[in-house]
Amino acid sequence: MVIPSALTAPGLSEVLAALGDRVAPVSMAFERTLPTPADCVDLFAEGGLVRGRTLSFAGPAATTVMLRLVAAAIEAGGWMAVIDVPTLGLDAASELGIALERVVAVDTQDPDVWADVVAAAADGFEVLVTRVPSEVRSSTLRRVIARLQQRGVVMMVVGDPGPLACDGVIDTGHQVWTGVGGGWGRLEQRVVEVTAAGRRLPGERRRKMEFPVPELQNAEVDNAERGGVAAEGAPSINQFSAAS
Amino acid sequence: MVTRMVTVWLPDWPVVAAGCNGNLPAAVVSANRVVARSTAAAAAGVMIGQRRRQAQRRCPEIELVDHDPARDAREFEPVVRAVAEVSPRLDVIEPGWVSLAARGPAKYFGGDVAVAEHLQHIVAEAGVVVRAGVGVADGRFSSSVAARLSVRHDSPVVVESQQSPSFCAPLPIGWLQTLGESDPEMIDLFTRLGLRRLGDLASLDPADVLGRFGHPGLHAHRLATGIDIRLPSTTDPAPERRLGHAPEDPVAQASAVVFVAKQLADELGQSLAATGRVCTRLVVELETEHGERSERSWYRSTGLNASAMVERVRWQLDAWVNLPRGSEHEITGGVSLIRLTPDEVCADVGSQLGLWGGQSEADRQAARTIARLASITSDEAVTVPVWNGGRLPADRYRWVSASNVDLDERARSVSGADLRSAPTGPWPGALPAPSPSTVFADPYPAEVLDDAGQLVWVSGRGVVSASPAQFRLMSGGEASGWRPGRTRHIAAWAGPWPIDERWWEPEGHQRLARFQMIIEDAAGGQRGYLIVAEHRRWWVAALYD
Repeated sequence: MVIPSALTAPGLSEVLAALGDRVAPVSMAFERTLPTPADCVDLFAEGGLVRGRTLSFAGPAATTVMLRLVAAAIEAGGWMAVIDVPTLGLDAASELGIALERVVAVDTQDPDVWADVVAAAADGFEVLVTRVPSEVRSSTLRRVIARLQQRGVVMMVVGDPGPLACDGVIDTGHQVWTGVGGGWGRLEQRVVEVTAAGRRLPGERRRKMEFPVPELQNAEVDNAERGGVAAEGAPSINQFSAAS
Repeated sequence: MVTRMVTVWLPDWPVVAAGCNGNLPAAVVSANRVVARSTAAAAAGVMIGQRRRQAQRRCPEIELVDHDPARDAREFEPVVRAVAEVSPRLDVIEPGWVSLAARGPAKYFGGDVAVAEHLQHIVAEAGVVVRAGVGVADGRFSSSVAARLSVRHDSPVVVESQQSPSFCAPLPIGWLQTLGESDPEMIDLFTRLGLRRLGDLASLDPADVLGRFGHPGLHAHRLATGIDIRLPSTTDPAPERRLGHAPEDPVAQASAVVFVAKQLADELGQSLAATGRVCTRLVVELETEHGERSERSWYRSTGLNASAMVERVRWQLDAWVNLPRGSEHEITGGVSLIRLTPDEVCADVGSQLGLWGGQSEADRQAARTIARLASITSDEAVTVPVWNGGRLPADRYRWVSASNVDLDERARSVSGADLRSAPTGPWPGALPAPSPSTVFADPYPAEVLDDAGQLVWVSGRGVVSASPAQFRLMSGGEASGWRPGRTRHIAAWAGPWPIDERWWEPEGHQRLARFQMIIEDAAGGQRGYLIVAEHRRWWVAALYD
């Protein structure tokens, strides 16, 4: 910006003050986002997973989509706590790009302990994956949520969120598998229709997601232009049908 | 000009502070690694840096104590007070390690040797059972080395003025690492380049060292030549950097004092960082409403960040509060003044957190949180995955207690690349990617039927009796009997992929066949299942959800 030389000294300071206001850092919601895979950002109006939010997942591809959304944050150095989800498939997590050395599981058993554990885990982990116990009181839940928002931690709820009112619901309503038929092939690929909606996700955003993610290594560069072309070179069925 | 320094060093201080008998094998462990050990344990082959298990293997009768820096500082307080009688301007580098300028005391006591002997005498009188090492030399580094050597000789080591370079020259270069001045990678590099002694490094041109190794290298070079770069200054620092807080009501709780100190330390750290500086020597002053004072100066060559400053305040406060009753400096009232003074400030040139490899701040925070989670639940409840290998999804990882795993080393040994390539490695016959995202350790019983409603089974040769068409989950139990759930349509299936594992072992033998199935749910959606047939029974092993 060119400052007119005719301005007197007091005028100049006013211009500078106005400029200062304009360039002052303002923390908007979209600036407080976790690293999000490039092909998932358009699910969120803010352009990414906003810190401090809770999201629940439903439908036949819930866990996979959840792992896909958090993978970039874990890859970037964040830690993930898996609280009361002993069934999480680690191979799938690893295939989606989650660094397993930064995954820690906690087993709580008790709804009161669950709240303490979630609140404590918010101090050191960027992503929490959990199942909400149905007996937990809503007053306790409010405290937990306040804690998560204060620490900027994203909580992913697997299964029924129960008494918890999540900020967003990611619904994986419809998926189409390919590669398998009546007694031949194997589960190879699927296209999942993902819908994001909820209290803090204005409007309903849909997109199709493909698994396995086409060329995971380059996914961050640009995934929008790469159409529905399947990743080549998947191992053939013969490699594993001959069991030892 | 290099200042002459006296250093007092008490070997294996954490072990002594823990109250262990020096004649019995004992070690202090932190994060599963030995950080200090008694002489008896050292004789049995226990080394610093060993894992807990290794130490126990070398020496089964060893007594292991958890590391507690606050305890070390608290127990050290009598020694500091005794040394402070000789000279009030002393720097506590860490519990068990004090250095002070030698000039004044040497004049008073009549020579360096006299000061050293006097110090050794008063430290022994302070009720400490260990041998104290006292060294006098030019500069903090040389005198620290001298103090450590003095423990071996059992008498004070005095290096004559101007003799520090020739004293240092024949010493192994590893001393820089031992005294925490250089990181292990740097020492390793020096050794591989043939610089095995401090003298080898000192003989290089400082400009070349700076060009090749940057500031950490230059720092090492200066120490090796016997020049201590940070003169222990006696001039007052600029007053605007001094930060203090006088609470309106005296604070009686230690935690509240530490809280105030944290705010001051954050502010101080920020104001120093804004000018690219770091505090290497911090003076902490505490004063009570009754006028008792505690003043201590803390030194760390790599600089004290805000959390390190707070830790020093806590140590100091803890030691003060725990003084024996009736002693001269006993605290009797609430704290009415807390002041932090950066006594020695230098340009912040090093100690950047690792960009890759090494430990990041997030890793450290996670490690602290893991310890906290284990205290809320139990050690067994907080677990981390370890690659196990296997042909069924549930076998592929084991969960082991996080307290038994070195999380720092884990980041290097269990890298994601190794894990991702693992399925093609030693487990032929494992299912290829994509892997199921929900895995049941205890599979759910189910039934797979053909078009006519007959149970499908797999023959010993891996042939299916009929094409699977319908699926139903079973509920109930062995005792109450199994009840079939709602029948669902199988849209597509693949398999069977048989496994015949551990046939040589009667207990572990399993023979089963795996299927992948797409089953339609009530709404017509498709769900992927991994189903296992074993002895005419069917199980849901995992879901591709």
